[in-house]
Amino acid sequence: MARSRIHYVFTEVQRLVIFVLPICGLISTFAQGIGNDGLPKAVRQVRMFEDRAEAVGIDFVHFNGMSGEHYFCEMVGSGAAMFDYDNDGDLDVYLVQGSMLGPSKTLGDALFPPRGPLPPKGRLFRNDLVVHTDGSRTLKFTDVTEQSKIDARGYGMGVATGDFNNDGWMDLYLTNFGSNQMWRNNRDGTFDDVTQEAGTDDPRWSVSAAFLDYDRDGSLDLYVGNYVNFSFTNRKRCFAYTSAEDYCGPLSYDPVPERLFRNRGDGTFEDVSAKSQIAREANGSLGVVSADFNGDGWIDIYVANDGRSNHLWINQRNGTFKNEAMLAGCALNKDGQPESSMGVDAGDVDNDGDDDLVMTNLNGEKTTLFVNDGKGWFEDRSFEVGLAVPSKPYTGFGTAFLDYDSDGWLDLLTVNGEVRTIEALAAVKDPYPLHQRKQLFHNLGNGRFEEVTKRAGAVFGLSEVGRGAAFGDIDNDGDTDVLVMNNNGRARLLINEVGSHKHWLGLRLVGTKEKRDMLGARVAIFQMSGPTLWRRVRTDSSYCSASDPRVLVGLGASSKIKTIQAFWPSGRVEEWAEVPIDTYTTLREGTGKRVP
Amino acid sequence: MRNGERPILLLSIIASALCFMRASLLSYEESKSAASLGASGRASQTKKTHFRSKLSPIPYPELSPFESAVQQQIREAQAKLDSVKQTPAATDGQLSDTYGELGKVYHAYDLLEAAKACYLNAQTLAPHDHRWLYYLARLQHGDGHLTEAIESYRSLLQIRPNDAPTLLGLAETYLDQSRPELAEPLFEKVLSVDPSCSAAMAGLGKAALAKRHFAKAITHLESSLAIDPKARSIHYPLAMAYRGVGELEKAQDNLLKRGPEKPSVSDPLMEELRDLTTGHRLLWIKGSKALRERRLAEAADIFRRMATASPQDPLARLYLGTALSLLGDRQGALEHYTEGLRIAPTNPKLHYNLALLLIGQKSDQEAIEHLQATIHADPGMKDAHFHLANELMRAGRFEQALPRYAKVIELDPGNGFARLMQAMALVRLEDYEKAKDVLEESHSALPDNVDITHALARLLAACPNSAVRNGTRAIQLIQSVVRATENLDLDQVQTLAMALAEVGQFGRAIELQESLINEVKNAQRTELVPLLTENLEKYQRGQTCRIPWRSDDPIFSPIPGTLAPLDPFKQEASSMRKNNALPTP
Repeated sequence: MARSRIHYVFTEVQRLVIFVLPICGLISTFAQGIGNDGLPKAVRQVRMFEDRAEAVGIDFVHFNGMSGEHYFCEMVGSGAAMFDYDNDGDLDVYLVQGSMLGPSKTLGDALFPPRGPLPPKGRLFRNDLVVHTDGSRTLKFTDVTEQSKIDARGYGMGVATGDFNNDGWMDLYLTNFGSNQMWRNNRDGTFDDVTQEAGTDDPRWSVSAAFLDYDRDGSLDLYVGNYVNFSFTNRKRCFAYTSAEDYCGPLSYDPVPERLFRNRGDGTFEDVSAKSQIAREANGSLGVVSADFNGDGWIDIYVANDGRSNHLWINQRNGTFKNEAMLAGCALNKDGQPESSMGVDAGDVDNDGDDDLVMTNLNGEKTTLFVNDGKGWFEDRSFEVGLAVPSKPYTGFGTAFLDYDSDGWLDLLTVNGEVRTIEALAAVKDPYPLHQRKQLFHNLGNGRFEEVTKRAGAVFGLSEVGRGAAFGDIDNDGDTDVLVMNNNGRARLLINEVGSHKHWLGLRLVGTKEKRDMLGARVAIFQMSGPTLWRRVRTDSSYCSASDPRVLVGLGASSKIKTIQAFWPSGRVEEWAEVPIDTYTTLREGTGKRVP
Repeated sequence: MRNGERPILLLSIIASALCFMRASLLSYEESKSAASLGASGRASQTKKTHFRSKLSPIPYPELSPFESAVQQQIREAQAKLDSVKQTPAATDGQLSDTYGELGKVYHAYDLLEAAKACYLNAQTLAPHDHRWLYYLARLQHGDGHLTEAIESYRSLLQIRPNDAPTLLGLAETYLDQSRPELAEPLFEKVLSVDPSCSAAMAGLGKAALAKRHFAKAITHLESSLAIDPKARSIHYPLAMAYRGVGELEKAQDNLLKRGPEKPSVSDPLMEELRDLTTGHRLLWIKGSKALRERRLAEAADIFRRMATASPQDPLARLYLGTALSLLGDRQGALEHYTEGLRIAPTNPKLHYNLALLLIGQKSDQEAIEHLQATIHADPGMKDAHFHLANELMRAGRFEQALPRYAKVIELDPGNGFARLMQAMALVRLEDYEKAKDVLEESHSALPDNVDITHALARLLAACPNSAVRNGTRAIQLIQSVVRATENLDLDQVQTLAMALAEVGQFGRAIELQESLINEVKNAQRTELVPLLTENLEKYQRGQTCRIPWRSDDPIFSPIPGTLAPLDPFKQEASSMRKNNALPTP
């Protein structure tokens, strides 16, 4: 509809007046100062995480051994572990390293030469945390790899932690492209390679592994996820749609069956892969998480498979498992399509008492959230909760639920990095055009998540080829920190700057005769008001990584809780009252009030 | 201010104000012009407007990674745009079309930012031309920019309110935003125009599922399947709906039937886009997508084009052969596999697929040779080991079959058939103790496998080696088979009779054997009677059976099951990854 000329001119003038002033205001705000990270200074002051890896002595750069051949395995690793190997009450760090790849290749052929001590191998860093009398903390790490005698020179993929011999000291299981290794903690700062003695080797391409007591006999068994049958002799050359050579995907190779090793209780393991039925279906496993998904008191195993349907191995309570993922609704996305799942975690995101599932997938798919109905059936609600759209442009790997702001609701962090060339980066001759940014999602407590990446800190603005991520309270201040591994990149230690500003509860659940962290135990925190908070003891999940077995619960503004109930793997249930908050407490099985 | 400067200042202010007013008046003219385009929507074909001042620069992406045929195609489209831009007489309509066509070429090759810029310019010049808005909407939807996609779709509906692809696109976007209540009326509108649109019916079903109205979802999804039974993707949401109402058997049934095929929708604009792609590798991507989605005739056609365009490409032959084999044209498949092997004599997939065809034609020796070549080229291909082992068994080459079965078991520990056949090979070689060990270990690994349990029972009941025999255990094992299957077949009843005789219960063994013979006679299977009578007479003489399986027992000649070609895009394949597996020979 035409307007009168005079009216139109005046409208223009009004528009100029209305909009110029706010713009001037904005210019003024920015004129106050923009930091080096591109964020206005005022915003920078609210950062949630800060990378302090180098500052605290974790100087580690992953070496992927690439030489221009586009070997499939070179962009897959690696992971990291947070675990207390010296039992001094703080989390130490193990970082998985790669090596030169390819027959007849030497370090001189590497496109990106290794940085750090040679030969490249996995590194153990001891945490020498000092908590001062005023409550301040000095975090410092020392590389104790040589003293530890851990000699991991294989092509490292991931790490699992657990005390497999029940002596109270955490052991390590390393997965490789090639033979794996079991490192037994000798309780004196050193480790021994007991792979052959334990009988836990798998010479194929293993990625994620998990310790769990599936038969409830008190000894930790071992699940090993295997990927595909890629080798240098059967390698294929794959190409992008632009015709440039690129990395192959998992469908180019046959998947390899998973493995389950039953702990005999004497330091040795029995391969029960076939007997347990775990080896019956092979779909190319990348991520694993163990939890009691159907609430029957027995640990189940969820496996994130790449490009093929995921597995939900439900414990049949007789030494065998049955894959019920299809009917449970967590094998495929809501359109009935398999996704390229990499990282995975389980946690109670809606505080209704059961463990839900999240997994990271390929660019163009999304981060998938399967919500548990309490009976072990799931529904893909990724779109409804607000995770799908912001995650679609990213290829995600390491991930976990964490209550970063201690408000009692589990938030989500994902570590991203592509697996195929990003054309825009290749166009500007980026030497390793796979990098992407991490993401942080805040649980609003109303069934939705909000992406808060831009407020999370400068480290979230870094574009890297993210892979493993381990989660834990590395400075013992009551909030969850994150150790991130980047393929062909620097390890990052994201220190949480906000969670400890609210109340929290820290628990370590240990056995009586087992003397160790009781992986698989669940704990219910009954608050004075608000929903009951359910958490579980675990070191698995994420991608190729092992996390803090302690339970850390955010309480928000609440300075008191009612009671805590622990559901031990043995089936025993115990209750504690008067557990102090804002500190860590050890709960030992057998010392609480028995709940019938 | 000095006196002389005041007039100058005043004049400057007036001049500025006049400039401002002129600019405002110009933009008024533009808006008036835009309002007068009319319902036809297309930009004026006879004049240029001021829209051109609003056009954005178009990126020219780096093309060197593309193969030369694609580079040429893109450059030609770019050159056409440059030419039209430099032509003074070119109308807005012509310029719009050229931007749009370039956008399509970019879109076809996933250069999405460039495509978007082209479509936006095309749309600016021709705001009511539905084509560019539609492509833009599809691009935005695919990229996850749902809010923008909704805006584009809604603008489109103002131009073409009954366009089915647009209504469906908008509805699907609302579903992705988890707003099923907004999607439903759109699906209903499509159905009001075309009641046989299975995509719209399926959409209603998915909307109901999102709202947890499971019964309603079942009704709609079943109707959709009735219209388009090949749309196997509907089975998954249908399974979830059945699960929601507690009908678990139907849920399982639908889960088994699921597949990637979507309900077919006529979308001429997107088909134009698909037809744009050229170049060898992109044809492969299109063809593999068609194969994955089981559009077999289309896949065969594309791979035939590939093979014609690149006669020395063995992969075109492989995939063409696969498509033809799945279409039932075995002879055509055989020809192309053979030709592929002429080009690439060591390609394991060609050898494998050809071997399967030969097995089907009972050319067993040739099949064995090709399977051996497969394994030589790809030692990890477990299916090749499996088929080779079975072929060797059928050929009576039991010693050679043994290591093949062992390899299959190593690669696939859950393969009960391989375990059983490994034991049978040992039986034929009369290594009964080893056969027993294999069966015991297999039974322990796969306790639910009835065939293994039965085979072990038979061996324990009738083995000529007394160190192996154990009649009591044989009876227990057969009893477990009864518990598992609630029934016994002919073979299993024979085994029970053997076991009873072994433990001295000849009377019961005779009874069983006699009833078996009667059953066989009643079933007109009289050719089996002499064999059964042989054992009956032994039992009547108080003798046990010492031949667990006769040398001509069919168990030693495993029948090939489904000989489907190695299909890289079978059910488990994910949504297409842009660079997945275009292997060189």
